[in-house]
Parts: sequence; C-alpha cells; structure tokens
Amino acid sequence: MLKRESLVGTIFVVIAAFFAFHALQLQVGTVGRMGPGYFPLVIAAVVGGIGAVILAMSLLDASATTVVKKINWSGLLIITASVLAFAALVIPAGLFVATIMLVFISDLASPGRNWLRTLILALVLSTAAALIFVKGIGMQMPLLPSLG
Amino acid sequence: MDILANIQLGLATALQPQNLLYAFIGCFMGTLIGVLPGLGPLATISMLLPLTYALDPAAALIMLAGIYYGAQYGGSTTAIMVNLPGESSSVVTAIDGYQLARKGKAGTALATAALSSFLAGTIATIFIAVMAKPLADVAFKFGPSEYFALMLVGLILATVLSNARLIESIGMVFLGVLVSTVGIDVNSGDERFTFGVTALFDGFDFVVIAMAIFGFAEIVKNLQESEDGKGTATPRITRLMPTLSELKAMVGPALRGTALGSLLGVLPGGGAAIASFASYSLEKKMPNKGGEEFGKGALAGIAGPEAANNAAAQTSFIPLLTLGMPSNAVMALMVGAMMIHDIQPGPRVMTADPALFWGLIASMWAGNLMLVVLNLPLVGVWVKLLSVPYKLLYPSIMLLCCIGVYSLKNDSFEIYLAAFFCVAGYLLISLDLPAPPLLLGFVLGPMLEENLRRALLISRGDVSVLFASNISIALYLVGAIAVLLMVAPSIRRKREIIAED
Repeated sequence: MLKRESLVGTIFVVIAAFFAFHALQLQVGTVGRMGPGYFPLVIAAVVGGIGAVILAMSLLDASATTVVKKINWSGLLIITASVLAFAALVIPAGLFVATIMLVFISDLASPGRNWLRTLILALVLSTAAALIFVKGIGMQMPLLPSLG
Repeated sequence: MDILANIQLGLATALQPQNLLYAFIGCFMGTLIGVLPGLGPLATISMLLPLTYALDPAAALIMLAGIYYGAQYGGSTTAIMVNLPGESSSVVTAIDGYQLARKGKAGTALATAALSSFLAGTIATIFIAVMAKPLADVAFKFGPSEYFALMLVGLILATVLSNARLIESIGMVFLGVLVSTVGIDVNSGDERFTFGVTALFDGFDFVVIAMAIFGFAEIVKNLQESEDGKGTATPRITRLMPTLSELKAMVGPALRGTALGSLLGVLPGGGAAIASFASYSLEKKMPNKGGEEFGKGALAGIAGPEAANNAAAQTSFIPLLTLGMPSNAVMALMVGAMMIHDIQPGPRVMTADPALFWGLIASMWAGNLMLVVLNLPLVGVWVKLLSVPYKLLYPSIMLLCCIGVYSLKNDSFEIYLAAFFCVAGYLLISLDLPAPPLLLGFVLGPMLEENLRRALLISRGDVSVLFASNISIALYLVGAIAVLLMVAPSIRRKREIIAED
C-alpha cells in the first residue's frame, strides 16, 4: 500500500534533484558574487531536504497510513486534451473551431450525451467570446480559419 | 488634516462617473463568476483579468478591486443559498446562513452579509488610509537585507496560517520559489532551466499557473466529486431588508468582526479565511442575547464572519501598497495586474501617483457601496445562476480560462503550459498538498533572490549583513515565534479543527 507522505516526500526530492542537477551546469559563483546557479541550488537543497524529512518520517512512523486518493485519470486526460486541442487550433483555425472542439471534448468528462445541447453551448460561448473579447476589447485572436 | 485631503483626492478619482461604472462592472462580473460553485476570488480575477487590459491604470485597478469584492460576495451568496461555499472564507457563512435560508429567511441572511460587509469595508478603508503613510515611511528604511528578511518571514508566516501540515506547506512555498527561477537570470543574462525554449525566457506567468490549478485542475476534481452534475434546488427569497431589531443584532458582531479582520488581513497568508473563522469562534463565546442559536441560523454567525472576511480582504492591500509585498495569492495577482500597467507596487506608488493610490483606496469603499446598492437587488439573478447544471458550466469556465491565458501574450504557447500545469497541479491537489503557498512562493521568489544577491554583493559575501539591522532581527523574531507557536500542541489542535471543517 502506497503511503501518501512517502509519495509527497519522494516528489519533493525528485523535483529538487532535477533542478539541482541543472543548476550545477550553470555558473554557481560565490556568496559575494552569486552566479545564476547559486540561488536555485540553495532552494533545491531546501526543497530536497524537506522532502527527505517527510519521506523519512513516513518510513519511520508506521501509524501514519494515509492512503493516496483515487485519481480521476479519465477526467484529467479529457480536460487536458480539450485544453491542448484549443491551444493547437486557435491560431490556425480561429476561435469558433477551437471553442467547438474544446466544448465537445471536455463534454466527455461528465456523464450524459446530448449532441444538440453541446453544439448550442459551443456556438453560444464562441459567439459571446468573439463579441466580448475580440470585438469588445480588441484582443488579437483569429475568429475563423485563415485561408492561404 | 492630511488624511482628509488624501481621502478627498481619492474620492475625486473613484467617484468619477467612468470609474464608478468600472467599479460596478467589476462587482457585477465578479459576482457573476464568483457565485458559481467552486470558483473563488483567485480564479475569478484570473479569468476576468483580460477585461482590464485596455483600461487606464486607475480604472483597471478599480475594476479589479470591484471584481475581488464581487467574487467574495458571490461566494457568500452561494454559501447561504445552497450551502456550497465557493472558497474557504465563506465556509463559516454557510453554517448559519444556510440554516436561515431553509427557514425562509434567505433574504435576511443575504442582506446581513451585504450590510455587515459594507460596514466592515467602510471602516477598513479608513484603517488603510490612516495606516498607509506611516507604513510606507517604514518601508523607505528597508534595504536589500531587510527586504530579504521581510519576504522570507512573510513566506513562513503564510504557511503557518494556512491549514495544511506545516512542513508540507513550507515545502510547497520553496517549490514555488524554485519554479520561479525558470527563465533568464536578470543579473547575468544566462538562461536557467529553459532548455533553449525561447518562450520560456521570461519564465512562467503567474496567471498560467493560477488558472491551471484553480481553473482546469479544480474542474477535474469537481467532476470526480459531483457525479450527478445537476443544479441544486434553491430556496426562495422573500423579504430582503432586515427589521430594526435584526439590524441591532448584527451591529455588535459586525464591529468585532471588522476589528479582527482588519488586523488579520495585514498578516501574510492570513487574509479572509482565517479572519472569518476567528470571528465565528469569537461570536460563539459572546453572551447570547436571545435570537437563534449558533448553527441554527444566528445572525451574529453571518454578520461577524462576513464583516471579518471583507475587512481582511481589504486590509490585505496594505502590505502590497506600502511594502510591495503581496500577502496572499489574490494580492500576487494584483501585482501582476499592476505590472501590466507599468506600476511597480511599493511605497513609491503613494508619492509617485497619489491620485491612483488614494483613488484605489476610495474605490474599495465605492466597490462596497456598489455591492449594497446595485448588487443586492440583483440577488435573484445570481441565485438563478446556481440552477445551471455543472455540465454546462465547466466548458464555459474552461473557455474563459483558455482565452485569459491566451491573452497574456496573444499566443497559444501559454495554453500548452497551462495544460502541463493542469496535470501537475491536479496531481498535487490529489495528494492534498496546498496550492496557495506554492503560488505565493512563486511570486515572491524573484524578489527573494534579487534582495539576497544584492545584500550579499554589497557586503562582499559577509552573511552577517542579513542580521545586521534591528528591523531584520525583529522580523526574524516574529517568524520564529509564529513557527514555535504553531508547533505548540494546543494551537496545532485548533489548526486541525479548522482543517477538518
């Protein structure tokens, strides 16, 4: 069984190690003349130290048995995918296409399908966004696919 | 009187019809988004930030302050009507507010919340006006080593007051500091952790991380928790204005809440949530002068905490405006907003642009007035919003977040980053790690580094310079005492109770 605290400690240590490793590739310098790597190295040491303490405490304390929560993998995947779709589409295909994809993909993350309702939502949202952000406050964002 | 002249100057700015309009739009939009379950002030401000880009600095800040109060009020509305506090500061409002609503007195509860907030807002505005000048004068005595001490102690205090496990909160703070080092090092011009990606030269934007965690990752979490996705039945609102005896019952608690909130709001990381909890437990200890019991619809249980959280929301501007240090994540967002308009938060704002400074303070009061005069009558509209199913809401929230992130640089790269931080943030949330300390560390990180490097450069590497002045020593002492108190068993127990609530 995976203990929550052990995982938290490990994550801190791993992230700290990643930053420390790359900070060492930079010029570190001295206390009086810190190079770009000095501060990140110190902070990475702090984070790594805290992670190590959390990890050690969880391994020593047998009574602490907080289990890791169930993770909503499918929800995470769908929501992230819809954000990525919007990011990929907004410049080449414009706000309308990007919004329609965002709404249709993210809709899969919750139960119940109603294509018509989802389409109406997508159209209402993209029209409102176009009016408020692009026409209203002059945001630079393509609305429709650029031809050529 | 200096202060009177300043307040007059402020009112002259804030009461311009154009700025009043922005204050109202801010309150309106803030309430509109803030009333949606699960969206607190931080997410609301992040989403609405692009609306303020095109305005002049004073108008933009006035509108943002309006959004902030609106979002907070929206959160209270949701707490009272459907017992779904949108953010931690309205958790206690839900206890008695929802009970009142179930007894058919939803209108009284909402009016109590708005009126005590207004009272608190008025007093807190005066408090800021009085405190700002002396504090800013102190700030001018700060050198790099004092600022370093301030930032460090501020970060530690913020974790002490947050309600997660202390060591993990501190870990999250420094993780935030670590992430903030990504980008070009301003002193040497060297790239750090960018791996040659040009778009990362400026580092990550605060808004990207805030939206990824409080927008996207929060949605993933909500979808997991509420599988039904249906709207909730809401009680009807009948009478809005409280009777005279009800007004009398709320004045005392509201005044005590204001005092508590004003003080707690100034502390780093304290802010609205702690203030409302503190006020609720104070009111419970006061002699009960008849009326309903606590937990069953006591007006004092709404008036106190609502006054406290509003006062705290307001006085949390003090460290930002006088010391240039954001004391919580919402204020960090304000820093970003000020930077966009080329305003460097700190003691110089007051002298360099007095109309802006006092205008902002006066507009806080104007924003509160808007909430009572224009927003309260609209409460029926807000309540209707609560019946919109989450299935329609979350795609809308996602679109707002995507557009907000895109607008930072008019580029989609930031949206890809947000997707990355959504995954990382969701995993951290799932592990019950607190996100606000991470954001605060991220914001204060660059200032922490800059002041540390400057202090040690001036002293030629002599570390003792960090402890050389009385101001620094006093700051470190405050930090040390706070941590010691936290580790003390009796207070730890209280923290755990708050965390469980």
